[in-house]
Amino acid sequence: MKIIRWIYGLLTVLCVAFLGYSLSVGNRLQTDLTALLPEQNQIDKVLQHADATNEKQLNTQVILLAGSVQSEKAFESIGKIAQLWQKSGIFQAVDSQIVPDWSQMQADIQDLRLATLPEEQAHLLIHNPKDYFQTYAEYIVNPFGQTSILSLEQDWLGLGRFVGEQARASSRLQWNAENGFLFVEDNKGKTWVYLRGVLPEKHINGEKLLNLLEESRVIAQQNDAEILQAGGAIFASLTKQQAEKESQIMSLLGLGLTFALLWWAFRSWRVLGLMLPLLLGLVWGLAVAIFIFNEIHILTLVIGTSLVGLLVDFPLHALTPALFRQNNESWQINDSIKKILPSFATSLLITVLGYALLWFTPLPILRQTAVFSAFSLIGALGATVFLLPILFREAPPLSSHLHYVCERIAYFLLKIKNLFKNIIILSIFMGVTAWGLIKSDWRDDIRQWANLSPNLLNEMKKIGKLSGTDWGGQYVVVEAPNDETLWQKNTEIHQKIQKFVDSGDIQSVQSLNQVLLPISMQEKVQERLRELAKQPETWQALVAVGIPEQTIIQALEKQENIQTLTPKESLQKPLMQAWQTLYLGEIEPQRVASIVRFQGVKPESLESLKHALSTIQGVHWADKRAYLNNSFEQTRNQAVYLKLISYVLAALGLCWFFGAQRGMRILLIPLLSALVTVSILGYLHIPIGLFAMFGLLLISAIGVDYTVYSLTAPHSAYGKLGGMLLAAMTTGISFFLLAMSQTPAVATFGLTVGLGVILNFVLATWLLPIDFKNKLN
Amino acid sequence: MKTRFFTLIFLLISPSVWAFSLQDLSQVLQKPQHIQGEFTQTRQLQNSAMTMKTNGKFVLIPKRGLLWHTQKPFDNRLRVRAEGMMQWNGQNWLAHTRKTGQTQQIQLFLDLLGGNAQGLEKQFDLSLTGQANQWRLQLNPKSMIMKKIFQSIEIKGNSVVTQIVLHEKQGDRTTMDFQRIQTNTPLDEFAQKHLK
Repeated sequence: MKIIRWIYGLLTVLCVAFLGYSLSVGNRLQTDLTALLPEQNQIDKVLQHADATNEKQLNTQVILLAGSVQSEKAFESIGKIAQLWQKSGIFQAVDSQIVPDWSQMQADIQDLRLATLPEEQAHLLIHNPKDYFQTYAEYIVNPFGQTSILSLEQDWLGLGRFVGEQARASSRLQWNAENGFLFVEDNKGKTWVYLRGVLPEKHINGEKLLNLLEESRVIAQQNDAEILQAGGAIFASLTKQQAEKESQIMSLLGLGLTFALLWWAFRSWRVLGLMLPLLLGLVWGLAVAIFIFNEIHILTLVIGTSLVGLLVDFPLHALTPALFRQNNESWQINDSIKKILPSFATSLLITVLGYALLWFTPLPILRQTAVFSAFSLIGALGATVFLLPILFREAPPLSSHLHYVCERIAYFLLKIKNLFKNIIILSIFMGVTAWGLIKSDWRDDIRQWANLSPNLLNEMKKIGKLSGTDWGGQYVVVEAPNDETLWQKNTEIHQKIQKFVDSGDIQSVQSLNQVLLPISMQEKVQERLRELAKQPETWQALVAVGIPEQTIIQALEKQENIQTLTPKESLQKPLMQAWQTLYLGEIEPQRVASIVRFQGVKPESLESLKHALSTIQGVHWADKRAYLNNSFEQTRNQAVYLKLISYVLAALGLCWFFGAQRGMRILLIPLLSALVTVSILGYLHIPIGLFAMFGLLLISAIGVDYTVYSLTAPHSAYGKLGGMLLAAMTTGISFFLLAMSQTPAVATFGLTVGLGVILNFVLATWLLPIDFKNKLN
Repeated sequence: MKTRFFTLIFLLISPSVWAFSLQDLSQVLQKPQHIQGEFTQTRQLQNSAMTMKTNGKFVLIPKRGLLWHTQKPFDNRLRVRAEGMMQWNGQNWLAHTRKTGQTQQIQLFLDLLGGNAQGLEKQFDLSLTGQANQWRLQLNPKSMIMKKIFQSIEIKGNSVVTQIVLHEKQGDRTTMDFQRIQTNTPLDEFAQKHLK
């Protein structure tokens, strides 16, 4: 015993030292929500690449619109906010006033004019050049509609007049020539001015970002303007802030309530000593988790803090019977601990085993929680066994009020138990439970993992509508052996989707073929232009407006600067920035890929869209949410199997320790409470996802603990009832607090365990040999 | 009494007091219900010493729009309104695809022809010389984009605009001369039908 005590002491000191060191070296708190996601190793490289590109774009840009009926106010606000953003140092770049570099633009347009020639114009030139040149001649003399940045002499054939429009993507934003800002007017006459900040890919200071956005809001308000904002980083930062705040409030409230309860029971400040197992438990859990994972996720902490209730179970089991001792009975804490240690060690072993199995799931958060919880329990147990005896040398005063409460509860529970002896009531209960089980909804939804503020979501939607900015809209990844085939596939997809766009089932589609011509077509155009030099009748309209024949022939023959460009070359030009993310390039030899995006897909037409595209080879649907949900479901099922395995192992262990009959009985109670909990969740329409599953795992651990204690501990029945009551209440407090979390997944977890704990308690008391009638009458 | 009367007369005819202001110009130009006439547009390219000439008829109804009917070298009818430009194909008006900056350009021309000084002042520094019966308005760009496109713009006129000269930044010069201008005379059927 002494050696173990020394080892425990040594390990605790090591844990404290390691924790102190690693916390001082750097921040070990991981707050990135994506860190929770399963590692994607089975996914295809092309899809992975597409996903990374998409994520990067979503997570690094922050967009803000300031709107006002008086347009000057909107522009003024954005001007001030842009200055604030630039000064803040948070952003890698702030796009506010766009001051085009004219000569650079002219050079780009000259280079791009063939590669970005709209397809229908290319066809017109090839098949009906007369129409092409007539329209062009009209364009030249039209004083109202000239938008080309190239002068006539730079572009005699008029190919460059389309480039600017092509490059603009589907954005609805307009450029205000007076001040260089981008803006859009909504249908109510409000002017919305656009501001975009690009965050660095890593080390985003979420707190600073949120403060900055708050300041921006204030500035806008002072200028009588409204603000809309969106960006992946805002969501992430808000979620993080919320989780931190929540975990703070919950651990404080949990601790406060727990100790208020304990003080009420023990009437002695010594119960504060119960902090020790708690504290050392958390130190152990944190230290080992950080040692293994090098970091700990905020959600692990949130769930981990809920262990507060569980960690004091053991010391409570040991201490509470003292409150129920007979008057002259002597009480020694060491005796009490010794009495329950074997049973407690058994249940601890089973619990730790249950957690240890979670290690084999692919979800980092489950693995972290497994390690954290298992080692917290061990740390807390050690503190109870080795340190509590020092603190509680004297027996605490007898507690008559606790005694009274226990009696009332026991009486009440016994009445319920008697009710169940009635076969009709029992069958009704079983029927109701079974119906709940049938109704239970086993599914995972990634949206449950984070609590996204509906306001922000609304703002994001509005921004998408106003500016045409794409927010994680759906997309497909297209792959082909070369650029040429890739273009053909893009065209094919575009044509199919265009039908949906025309019928209003999809708002818009973006594909490479809309802006780029394949090399083969570019060459065809070049060749056709050379032919046309010998067919002056096709371009007489140009001669008519005054361009000398010789000039036109020269332009057609020489084709100065009219060069062919590959997609990669085209998209590298700064002018084409809006389209860059569509082309993924050559990911592996013979595998070139691009993205086709669509916005505003009506949910009901999704299936027919998928069907329409299924005939084209090399099209991959990249529905990340579905993929994630799927992978969560897999993990959850895995957890179910692991749980079954843990039951079998527990059954074997229990039977070995307590004999077959008792062992099975012990197992029956946690199993029953898990079933009833699932049934209740079914009635509450709460889907049972990964987290609820994890909660069920915890329930069975607690159930085994209670049952073993109530069946085997050699304390008095009331002592055990009191011990379990306090343990259940302290555990219940922390988990029902968790049930109030804003994050649906965490709330489900809390509710599941909270319900399970109550059920465990009720069922375990029914095993106690208490003769209530005598006592109460 | 007499002296005071003469002072008054003197003040009334003195150009410094009775100066022709932008506001007055706007009022004069915006007076007619509609204007119609002929135009000649000459574009001179700087580097090629080349002249491109077109002419035709136009009808302007302020706030309704402008019909711009090119007759030479080819027949082409445009209807220009603040919200966009359309082309007549013999039966219908076809919308020109709406392009960035085009609305601004259209607005500029409608402002130039209609004498909307307020609109022009947003993008140009205006300086007006002359009298009501013969004035000259010089526009020097102040907004970023106009500075990129225009060196300056000159407008001349009397009770109506008679000439607009666009000096483009790259050296090209476009001159629009308006002749046979009539105000408030009956419009032809086409104009009545398509500008109302």
